[in-house]
Amino acid sequence: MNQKRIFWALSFFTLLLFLTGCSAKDEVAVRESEQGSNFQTERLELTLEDGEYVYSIASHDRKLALFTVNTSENASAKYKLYIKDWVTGEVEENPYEFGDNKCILLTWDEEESITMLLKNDDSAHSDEYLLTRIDTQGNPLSEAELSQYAGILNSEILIKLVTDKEGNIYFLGMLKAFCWNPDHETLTQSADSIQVVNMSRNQSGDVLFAVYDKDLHTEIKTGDITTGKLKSVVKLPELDESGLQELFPSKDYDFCCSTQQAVYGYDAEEKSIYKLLDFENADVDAHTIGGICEVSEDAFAFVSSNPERKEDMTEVLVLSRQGQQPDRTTLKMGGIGISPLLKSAVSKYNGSSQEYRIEVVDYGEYENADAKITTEMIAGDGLDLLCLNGLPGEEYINRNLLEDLYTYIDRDADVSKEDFIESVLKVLEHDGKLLYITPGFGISTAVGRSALLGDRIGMKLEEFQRILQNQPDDMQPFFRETRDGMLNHLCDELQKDIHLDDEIMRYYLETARQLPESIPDDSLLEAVKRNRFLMMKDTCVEFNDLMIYQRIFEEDVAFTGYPTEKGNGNALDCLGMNVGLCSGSANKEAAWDFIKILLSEDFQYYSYPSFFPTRKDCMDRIVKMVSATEEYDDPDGNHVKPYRCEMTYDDVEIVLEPMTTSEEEKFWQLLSSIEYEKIPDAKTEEIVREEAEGFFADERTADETIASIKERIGLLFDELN
Amino acid sequence: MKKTNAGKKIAACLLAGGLLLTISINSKAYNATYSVGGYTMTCQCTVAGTLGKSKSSSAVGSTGYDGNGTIQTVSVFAYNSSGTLLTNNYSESQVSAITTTTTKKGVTSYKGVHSILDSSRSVIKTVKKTQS
Repeated sequence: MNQKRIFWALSFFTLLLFLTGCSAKDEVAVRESEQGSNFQTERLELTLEDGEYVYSIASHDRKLALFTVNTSENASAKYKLYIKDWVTGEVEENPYEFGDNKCILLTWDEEESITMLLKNDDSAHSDEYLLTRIDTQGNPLSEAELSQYAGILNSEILIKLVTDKEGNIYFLGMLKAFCWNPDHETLTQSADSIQVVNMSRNQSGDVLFAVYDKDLHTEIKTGDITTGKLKSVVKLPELDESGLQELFPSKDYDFCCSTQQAVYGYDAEEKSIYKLLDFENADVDAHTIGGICEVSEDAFAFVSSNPERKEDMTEVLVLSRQGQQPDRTTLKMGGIGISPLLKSAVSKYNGSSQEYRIEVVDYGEYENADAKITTEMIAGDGLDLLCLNGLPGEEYINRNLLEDLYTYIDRDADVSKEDFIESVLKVLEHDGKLLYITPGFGISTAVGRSALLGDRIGMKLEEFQRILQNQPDDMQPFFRETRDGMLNHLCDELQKDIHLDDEIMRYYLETARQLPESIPDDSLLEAVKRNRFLMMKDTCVEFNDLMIYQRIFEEDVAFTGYPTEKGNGNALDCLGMNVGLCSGSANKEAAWDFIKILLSEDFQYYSYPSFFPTRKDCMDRIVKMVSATEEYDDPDGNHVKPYRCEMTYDDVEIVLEPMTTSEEEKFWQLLSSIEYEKIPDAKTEEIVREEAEGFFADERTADETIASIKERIGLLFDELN
Repeated sequence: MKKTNAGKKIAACLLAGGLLLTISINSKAYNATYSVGGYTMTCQCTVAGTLGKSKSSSAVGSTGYDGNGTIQTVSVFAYNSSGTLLTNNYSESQVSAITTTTTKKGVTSYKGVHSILDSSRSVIKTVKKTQS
């Protein structure tokens, strides 16, 4: 018996060692590079013709190939290829003549072989694809016609081109790859079971594929992608809060990869991933870059397109390692899941300030993020700027932890209250103070046919119920509404008034009980045609979002907002961009300078259509653009054409013409009618959901549920105040 | 680029050994693809994984080649069942653009938004698609 026990104990121990060994093979550490991840950013100086801009780049052994496009009528050639030698610094135009062929994809994996996928630019020959390899003197080495695969190539977004040492050529599509075998002249798709996120060649000439595993973690593999017989190279750990963006070759590392925050290098021997470059430290807005590649052992290059830079379409930025950051005072901006648009503004601030730089701290990784933030803010040694998205704003306001921004606006010659849309400021105010601001907003609304709902803005719940009673039995009150969605509206109402009428609460709970738990996959077109619902809710962030409803319903529409007790269902949504200046900040003026970027005309205008701007001049400029029936030049010298937008919204395809005066009037009426800001409150939502569970499971009555919700919300309210 | 020395990995190995036993199973792929012709634009938004409160998912959005120098934007928004935005990401580019969201649980719908703008920020084409 003892021997058996010993045997099983040894077996278990061996198994444990085996499992540990297996996992050790997979487990990699993410480390900071010894030299730090500080890089300085410089613009690559190129002498290009007017209208010529860099479209894509590829590198090989300290040389950079640059493919340019020139849309100007006077261009000497529409497409050109240049090669920059990193050692001599010389840039030479490659004599290869593209003719009508534009280069869709470019790679430079071998010394004397630049590979390009070309597509005929002439719309009559748009199915003509050519795969060509040229040398650095522009001489063709090989060509292959891929026109027979035009069906596949036209329907796919081709993101990347990579070659292997055998001469096979791989195209990256959306979660799939294609392999061109030049010997058999066949194009084969990756195995269905594999989701390919990215790919790159390694130093041995094999192709590495970044694929999702069954838990959606990214794993780097190599092998035959078409059959799915792949061997694991490494499982990538969670690198940062953004997903994998690029995988590219490196001379010193087995491969490099980038996210929207940083560039990393993988050392297989050490089983370590080194953080090489931090975009934020280099003052680069990683949301506007593409085609990153390594140009030397201490430098990366990529194409950047900043829409606010008016003179050039794109620029090539080179990030070179520097020992130490310039000595600047660090400001801290904290929050949870900070909006990428705010991060773009941070890059802009860091790129322009000699004295200060902002460090973005995401508290999402902490279990009690809001408590940690409050403690740090009270201690006064923590945050300079607070992004309030998903945080209990009332708590910071009640504890006087945020500055009144009106004080700053009043004494700043560059801004005034009159610069902003009055109704928006009113909604954001707390007792006459402006404790946070947003560069832009969306309008949370519900919309339906005026013929059914009446020509109105705002609707009381009792009116809505009366209208619904007079509709056919199969008429749904809301389109694609869910149980949680309905409970969310109950939370919104409780946030407005914790003494909400019991009958109103009963309506929300009983309606929620009848709704599905997940969002129904109903066809919008079908539901509109068959008149299946009274209202659909939406958060409109740009004018097309508002204009489309009139076209979908093919009749006048009413933006009533969600029906509520007082008919005030339309709400302002800061879209996670509400930022406050912390009272405990030691650098308030520097923090205010950041907020001024958010409030600037350039930032707000050039962020459209991501949001409606809070500045009046920006809104007027956008209204003029969207209403344009004739051509004109805007203040930045851009030529604005009569408005026409082809819009697809789920299964609805519509052409939007210039906004009419009546639509514009309706928009301003809607905006000025808004009284509330939509602030999701996780604590209220948790209480309502927990209490409603029992009601949905028939374990308690509606009255009992209402009483419990009110009691708990009351306690929460007392705690906050 | 020189590298630092690797540290000891014993603790990490033991931890990973434990994690190896808790592999969850939800690997069914959910894909949706759509294309728009005209402006030589193709755009796609693909969700990897199964959507649902306890399921993991992530989304990739991308816009394809446009040689006319127009601006392309691609955004991916992830919502929970009550319509609250859980995460979003975007890319804006005058070349091609790609954006990825991190893998998250609790996402019940994604919205992909692709737009082509001219230099004045006038929206020429836009595609908004919900996947639930």
